[in-house]
Amino acid sequence: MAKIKLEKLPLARREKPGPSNRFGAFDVVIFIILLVFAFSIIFPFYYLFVVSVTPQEIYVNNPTLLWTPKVSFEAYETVFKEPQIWGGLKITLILLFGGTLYQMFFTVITGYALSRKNWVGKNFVMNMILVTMFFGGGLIPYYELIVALGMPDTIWVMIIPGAIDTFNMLLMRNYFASLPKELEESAKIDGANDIQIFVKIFLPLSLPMLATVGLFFAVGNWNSWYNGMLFNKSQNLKTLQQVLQDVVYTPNSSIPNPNARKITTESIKMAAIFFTIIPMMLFYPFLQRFFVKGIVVGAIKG
Amino acid sequence: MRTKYFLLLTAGAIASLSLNGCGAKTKSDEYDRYNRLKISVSNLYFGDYEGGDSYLEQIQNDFGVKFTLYSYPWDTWEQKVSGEVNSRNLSDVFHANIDSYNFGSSYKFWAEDGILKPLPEDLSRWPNLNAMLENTSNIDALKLNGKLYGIPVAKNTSDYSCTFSPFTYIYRRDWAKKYGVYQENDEYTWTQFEALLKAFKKNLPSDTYALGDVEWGAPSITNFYKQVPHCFAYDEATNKYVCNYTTNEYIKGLNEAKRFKQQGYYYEAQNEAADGELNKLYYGNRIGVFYENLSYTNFNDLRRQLITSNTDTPNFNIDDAVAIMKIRGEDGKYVLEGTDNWFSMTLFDNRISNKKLEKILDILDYLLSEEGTRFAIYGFEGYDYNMVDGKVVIDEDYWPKELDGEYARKDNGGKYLRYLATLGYDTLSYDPLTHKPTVKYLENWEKEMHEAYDNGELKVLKERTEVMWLTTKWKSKLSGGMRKAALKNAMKYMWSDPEVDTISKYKDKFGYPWPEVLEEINNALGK
Repeated sequence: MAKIKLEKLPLARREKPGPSNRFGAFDVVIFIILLVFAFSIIFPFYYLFVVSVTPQEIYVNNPTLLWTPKVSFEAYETVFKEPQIWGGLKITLILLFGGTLYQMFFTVITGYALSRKNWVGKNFVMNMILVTMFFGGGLIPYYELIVALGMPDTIWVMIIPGAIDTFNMLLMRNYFASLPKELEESAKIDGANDIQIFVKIFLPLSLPMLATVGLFFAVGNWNSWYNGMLFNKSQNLKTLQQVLQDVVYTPNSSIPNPNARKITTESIKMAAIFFTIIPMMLFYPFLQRFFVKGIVVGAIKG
Repeated sequence: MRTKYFLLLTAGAIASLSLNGCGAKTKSDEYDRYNRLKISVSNLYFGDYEGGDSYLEQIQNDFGVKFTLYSYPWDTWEQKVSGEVNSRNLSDVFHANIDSYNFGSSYKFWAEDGILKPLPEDLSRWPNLNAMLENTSNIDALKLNGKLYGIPVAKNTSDYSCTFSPFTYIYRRDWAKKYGVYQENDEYTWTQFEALLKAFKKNLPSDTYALGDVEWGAPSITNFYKQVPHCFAYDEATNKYVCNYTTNEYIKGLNEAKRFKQQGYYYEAQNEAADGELNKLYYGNRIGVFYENLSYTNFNDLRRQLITSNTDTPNFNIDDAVAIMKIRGEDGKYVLEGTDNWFSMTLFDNRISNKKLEKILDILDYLLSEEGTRFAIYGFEGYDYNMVDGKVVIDEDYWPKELDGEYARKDNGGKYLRYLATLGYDTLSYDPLTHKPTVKYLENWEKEMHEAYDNGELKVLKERTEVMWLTTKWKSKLSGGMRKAALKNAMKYMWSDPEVDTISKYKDKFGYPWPEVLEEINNALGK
């Protein structure tokens, strides 16, 4: 038996750090640019907070302050005592949980159905949905439709029309389509029906994409105001963002107003803004990785 | 074949939904479980009020109605009303910003289109409401075929023959005293006015300005020169209506305003100020003279804001920080903008029953009566207040005062419903919730201005009635936008924007549609 001569492979040489590995002038420039960029993002939040804890008499005489000589949480106290804020939060939370679940349900089942093998009318349905991504019916027909359906001044007007978001539905559809067909076939051989296949096989495998789409919907619902503004009249149906708009808006003084207004100082406005962005600020950094991951995964197959 | 059926079905569904949107011709009367007639009302002034107080309950029980109250948002009021009218998604009673500028495109158009329900021609059943309507300026302009399609909301119910808006100047009297330019009784000639601005400019820190106009009122200096407040001036020489913004008088005023800007008196970012910015600067102690709408609410808010801003300022005197300045122009006259004695209208959906309309008129008539007004302002007799020797005495056990000595706010549905007919300026002087010295100060100023008017010392800027209420196709559609564009160009000229830095370039900005609209107006009026 011939002896095989094993050649000793040279060990990978450890290279001395060359110029490319050093923190050069170019890196410094990039670092500074990124630092300025980061600062420009963080500073508004910082300023928002500083103004929110600055008493009015200090702020008005020095509106460009970087820190306050006197910290006061009175503005937050005022905001927390405002029943409208809590009313708005209640509606927004209903939208956040109820609306997100509802949208997820319809978007996911539609995406799944459209990802399955050909069934009669599939292309037609797909195209009908796709058309809405590029062409809207227009605001007036939409308004008329909602009125005709008797939905104005109900919470449903902020939930029902948003059942399916075409973009998110396409993400789901692409993701389902990217999963091996053999999974479905083997499940069928094992006697599973379509619903069992969807619930027990495809949904558990789609968690990253479900998280992504869920987050898209959740963020959208947290920031929701448009349909409420357009169709609702009752104070108790205002979303948190609408209440915030009321707080920060300065009425045109040429319009006579017999009602004495509440004194809304800048610190109250900033405290209200801070209150509405805090939940997103807290959760978004931890959850945003799903956004990237989900979109990339969904993009594998078109 | 199946696709065909599907398409047909879809088309049918869309058509039926669209037809459904055409809506019913009438709204049937509905009652709550206590057999009270349900009435929905939308109004700008309800704010965050939604009812639920015992005062509203009392009115509902007395008149056998049940209200659902909605408020319009301030920032989208006009758009909301417009959307609701166009989709016929209206409350039974709604509130619209009707003025001479949008009269043709809103009120008149809606009335002719069958959207508005007219008031009964004989209003003698509602004497208090009728008396208020008879005291309404330009009421005939609002009548179409002899019918009035709503209630103009009273703004100023005084008996004066001339009504004007309180758009004028307040100033820092304390600073004027400090810099030695204060004039007795806050009376300033044009030269003294400029001397004051000069002293402010010289002595105040660089981020504090001598002069500022509320955003919608700039450039206020032109008021002392122009003939009319807005678009259409009358040229006696040619017997025609002309563009106000290109008359010699307006341009003289504009040049004076530009000179003030060049002297550095004006707030440096006046030309791009956001809503509320100037107000904020004034209560931030950063403007010396401020042109603003000095309605009671605005004036009192400014005072309260200034007090809050100056908590730490020793010897701060609020009266010296917001004094009304009485300035005479180069012609020696004061100047104010003329106005109607009402603002906006309460309108009725044409689909409501006569019974419902009459119920609403009954309630308003009561709230405008002496007894109803007391109810709206004070509350229940024998509880919130008592009548002693014909005078109201508030029972402070039931209506306590706050720590600052002011009466505690309380929701009174009667007061809010009264806004459907009047803004309540008639009750300011005795409403427990108003700051009496402020009301008195404003009333004295108003009285002084009326005396000046009677003596020929006050110039009231007002467009001629025939052109103000004239409805022509393009005037109705375009004049609002034309006015805004004109003021924008005036500000550009003041700030020497390269696009409009000379008078000839400025005048060039008044091409289409100005000549066309003016021709239409002159033809319609036979000029």
